[in-house]
Amino acid sequence: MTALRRLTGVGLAAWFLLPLVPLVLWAAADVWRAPAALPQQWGSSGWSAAAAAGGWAAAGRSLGLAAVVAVLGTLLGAAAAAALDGGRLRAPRTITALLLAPVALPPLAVALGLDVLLLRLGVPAPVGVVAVLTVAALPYTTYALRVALAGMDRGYAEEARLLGATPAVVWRRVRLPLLAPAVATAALLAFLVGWSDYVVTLTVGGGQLVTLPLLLGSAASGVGDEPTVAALALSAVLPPLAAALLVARLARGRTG
Amino acid sequence: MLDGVTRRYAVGGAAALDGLTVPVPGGACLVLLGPSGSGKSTALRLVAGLEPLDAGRVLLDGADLAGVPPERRRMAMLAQRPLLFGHLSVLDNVAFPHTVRGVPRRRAHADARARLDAVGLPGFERRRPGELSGGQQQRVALARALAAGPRVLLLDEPTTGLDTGARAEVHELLRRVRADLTLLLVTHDPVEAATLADRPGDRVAVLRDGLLQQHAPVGELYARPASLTVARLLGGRTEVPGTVRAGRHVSPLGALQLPVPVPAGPGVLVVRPELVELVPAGSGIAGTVAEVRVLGARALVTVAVAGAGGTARVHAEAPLGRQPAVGDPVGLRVPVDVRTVVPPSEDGERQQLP
Amino acid sequence: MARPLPRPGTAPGWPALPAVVLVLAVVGAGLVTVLLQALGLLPLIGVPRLSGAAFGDVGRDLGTGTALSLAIAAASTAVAAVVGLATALLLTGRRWLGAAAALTVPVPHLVGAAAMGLLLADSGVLARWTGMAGWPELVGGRWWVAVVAEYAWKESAFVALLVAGALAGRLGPLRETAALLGAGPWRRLRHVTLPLAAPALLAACTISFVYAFGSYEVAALLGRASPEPLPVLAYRLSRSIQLTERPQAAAAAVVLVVVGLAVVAVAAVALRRSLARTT
Repeated sequence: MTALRRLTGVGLAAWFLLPLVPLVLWAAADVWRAPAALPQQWGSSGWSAAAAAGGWAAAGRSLGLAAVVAVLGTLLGAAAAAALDGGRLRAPRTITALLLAPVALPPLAVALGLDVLLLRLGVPAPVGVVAVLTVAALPYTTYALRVALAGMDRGYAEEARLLGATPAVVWRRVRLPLLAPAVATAALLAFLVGWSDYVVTLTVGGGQLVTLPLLLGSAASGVGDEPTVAALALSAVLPPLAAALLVARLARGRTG
Repeated sequence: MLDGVTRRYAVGGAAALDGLTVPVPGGACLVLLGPSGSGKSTALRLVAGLEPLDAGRVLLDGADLAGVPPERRRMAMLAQRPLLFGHLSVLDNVAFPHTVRGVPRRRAHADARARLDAVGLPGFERRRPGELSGGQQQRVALARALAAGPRVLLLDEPTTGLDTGARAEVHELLRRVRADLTLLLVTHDPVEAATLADRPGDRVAVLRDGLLQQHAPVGELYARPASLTVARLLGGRTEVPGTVRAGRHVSPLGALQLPVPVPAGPGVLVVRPELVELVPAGSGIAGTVAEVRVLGARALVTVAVAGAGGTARVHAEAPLGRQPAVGDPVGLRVPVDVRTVVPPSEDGERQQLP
Repeated sequence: MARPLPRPGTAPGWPALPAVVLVLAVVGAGLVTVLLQALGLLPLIGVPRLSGAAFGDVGRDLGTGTALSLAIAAASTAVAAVVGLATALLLTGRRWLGAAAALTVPVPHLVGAAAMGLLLADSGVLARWTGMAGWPELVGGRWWVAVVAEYAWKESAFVALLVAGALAGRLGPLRETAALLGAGPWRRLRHVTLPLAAPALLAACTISFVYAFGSYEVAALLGRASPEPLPVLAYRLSRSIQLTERPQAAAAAVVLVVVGLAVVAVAAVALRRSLARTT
């Protein structure tokens, strides 16, 4: 029984890690002809090709887009969560359903509609992309912060008031620090929505906003340039991974 | 029967439970009594097979239970929280032990219904556990545990989470359903221990820091605590340090004759407050009332006695309204048979059974 | 006088407004435009005229596309549910497994698609390692294996973390109780673990299913040219230089939304039942 469990555990870990192995190998390969099990020649040609294809600028645009979506998504989500937690909102269930609804809607469908509309209205494409992605991020930020607010022990705030803190001080010194891990998680989720998007940037962006996923998409749909694809793909993994590790550390530091 | 049961949570670290050996006669109740962190709950989990033993054996009717998974030990547990399955109705919770043994649904439900009646909850079958009060939930949990047909019923602080009324109900119920069941009760509450271990063969094992302090009927724990720890755990208050010489305890209270032989050397006299008599000044041991505290229907009177080698404080009880005032001179009478001397260190002698 | 302590019921409701307005504006505008376009009321050239022609023109493609997308979503969600649940149940005491699952969460689907391509293609890493002659057509093949694998891979981690989070701290004591009441490992799984995990599992599977059903890039990159899954069809038609195909693209988008919402509605009913049972 325990041996079976251990074996299953190892198998599952392999399932999660295996798809990332070709990325790492190809990103460090200059020449890797089939059927060799490992590259014949190691090198960084993929990275040079990725940089030459405008990788740095694309990464910068991706970072900017993700940051804007993270800030907007977290702010709007936090405000909505606080309002829902307050209990003075009319029809809170409808509002919750509305804010969570974008999870159930394919972004492509919304993007196809907005594409036509924004063109007619003359709205700049990047604004449209940010708007659609912020809406896509709102379910995650609202939900994460709503849960955190609902789970927050009011005893801390009450204790602080009895110890002489004003409501403003309670917010600054007690509630926000207690909420910090949830805010960080919400921001990370919104960041991931902005950073990972392909189809909305492609459709609504109309080619003006070339992000890392767009570069990767065009490289991957071609054939025979695996090192470049792998280098672009890895550069699209590392920043969100670093952000996730940072948030995980913050959350652990708070609870531990 | 527990034989040398040991559990360490870190390799080479302090044992949560160190070589505990106590017999549990069939049909009797053994109470593991101790403060939190004393290892008593660990002992219960080891008996149940929920945690591995580091040393020792758990024997049931002479058979070693090593390697027997919890579900085959036929030991049901009533824990501090009711732990009812939220996805099942009250009836299905009680029928659970039958369901998982493949008993036909109709028979399982009939038995579950009878058990719900027995714990005083007829008509609650269709309810969800979340709709019940804490006391009701604990009664459902008891019905469910009994439905498993256990040979040993494990009770892990079964009433700690309940208010006074519900606690009395559960105690009453446990005494009623007990019959020939072997009980193993873990508690920090000496009153609970005394309530449930009141039959002739019942015993209490006092634990501290994973070590057995005393194993005796509950009355003996009160009358003859083996150590300061036991005396304190059972609510003893008076502790008079002194020396034992020739069968007498010498202290500011004087040289008091002891009822049983005690080896000579330093020793602490412990006496329960309810057994100390307050008499008018001029008779008994002379002292002055230093403090009076009202404890419900009775008052706790602290009397300072000045004598050779310093001042001793002795606690006595008086009915409310008849207690003396602070500063009054009083006399104390400590009957010979209630005088107990324990070693001065807290651990005392480690008790080992033959 | 000191102001009273902040209590539930005293925080104002207006801060929810910006989020609500943005969602209504973006989703509303997008969906209304798509609907008007699909019904012929918003042509790029010519006179607006109410008509269901756009649906009829690509009716067959819409049918096969919907069926294909549903099949892909169902297959990948089924795999993700089994793998994710197994992972969630084996997480305790295996931090490395949790780390491996969490590692895939920040990976964009497009990166996952590129990785699956490098792994599963006929010149891919697996084919090289196994040295198998006649490697099956996993990328761009008949059975959409690479597409299903990519969704299943990403969503299994999502399912695992969601289910593990929902079970954290609740499962252990109840499983022990079940064991003491005589339930062996399989009975515990069936009567305690699965019912407790069901709501979180159902929610995670619904989100995964709707995502896989409506997402474009993975199927576009790893799938074959024909038949087209619904999102791929919708996107291709929307980029067509023949302006008459734009209403058809909108029609595909409408089907995408309607089917997706129908799935969520069914799941929501099931979830409510399942929650009523566990709380």
